[in-house]
Amino acid sequence: MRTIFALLSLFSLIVAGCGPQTRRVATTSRMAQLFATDFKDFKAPDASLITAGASRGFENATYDEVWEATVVVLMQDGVIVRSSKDAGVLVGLTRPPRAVYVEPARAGRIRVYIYSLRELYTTVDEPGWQLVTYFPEGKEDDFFDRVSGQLYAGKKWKYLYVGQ
Amino acid sequence: MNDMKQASLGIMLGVFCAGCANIPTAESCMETQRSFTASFEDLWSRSVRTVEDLQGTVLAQDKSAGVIACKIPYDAKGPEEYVNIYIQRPNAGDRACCVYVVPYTFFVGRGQTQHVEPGKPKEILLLEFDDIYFRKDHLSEIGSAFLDTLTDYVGQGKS
Repeated sequence: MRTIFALLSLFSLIVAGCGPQTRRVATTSRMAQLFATDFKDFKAPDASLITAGASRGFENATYDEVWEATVVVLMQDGVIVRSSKDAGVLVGLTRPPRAVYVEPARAGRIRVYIYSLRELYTTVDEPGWQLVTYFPEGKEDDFFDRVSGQLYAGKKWKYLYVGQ
Repeated sequence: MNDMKQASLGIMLGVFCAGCANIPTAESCMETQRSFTASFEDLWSRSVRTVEDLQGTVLAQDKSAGVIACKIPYDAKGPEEYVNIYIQRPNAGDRACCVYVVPYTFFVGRGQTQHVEPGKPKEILLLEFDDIYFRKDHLSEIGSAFLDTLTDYVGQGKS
């Protein structure tokens, strides 16, 4: 009996030895680094990058109204650390962090774009590892719905009167 | 019969004790906005000054956007509060400006991710890092403190 136990122990040790080895490394995310420096060197991304993200167009509203609705909704989700109305760009530290671009009106429609800044959850000292791999998806629609609610609440729905 | 008396006495005592306990009935709501009869320019400069008065640090400000991001110490022992201030420009024909204040509590958790390095299939790379979270602070007094100080500067505001 003792021999069987000894053999089993030896076998399990061999199997464990063949398994993957874990290398533990303490690292820093770009996000944490930005907090440590109070965002001093952080540059908001260009509008051209943000337009690669999800978008929705808003009609029957001025640029100022859409901008205002976007700011009010984004500031409910996380701290806005960069903003420029001239560039139309906002960066909010939501999860994942988001860059938002409010595009000037085209054909009577103002388009709002959202781009997730997942790169802020990559390593600083180890090359290119994504640190947070799961982010809640499908939140863009929720964001746009809330901007829409903020924008059109209390307004007459002008499209209902077209043709009258 | 005696047992029943004792039981009902116990229940009564329990009800009394529960009644005396300080059970909160409602949480105070965070004040997020207040209207001021003042110019945007005046509110902007006063808001920046109010942040300084509250021992805060302005992290970013953009006048064109009307947005200020700042860090205000809520309590020396407590967590830092990150605060967003948005000063809405008045609509044409309207003299009132609305100021929005949203405070967030910032806290750090311990995050871990696993990766397999290229060329090293038998090695798991376990990365440990400070994971950053924000929680909208519904009970923070920073919003009210900010708006009250701003009101002292600018004049009567309306919630």
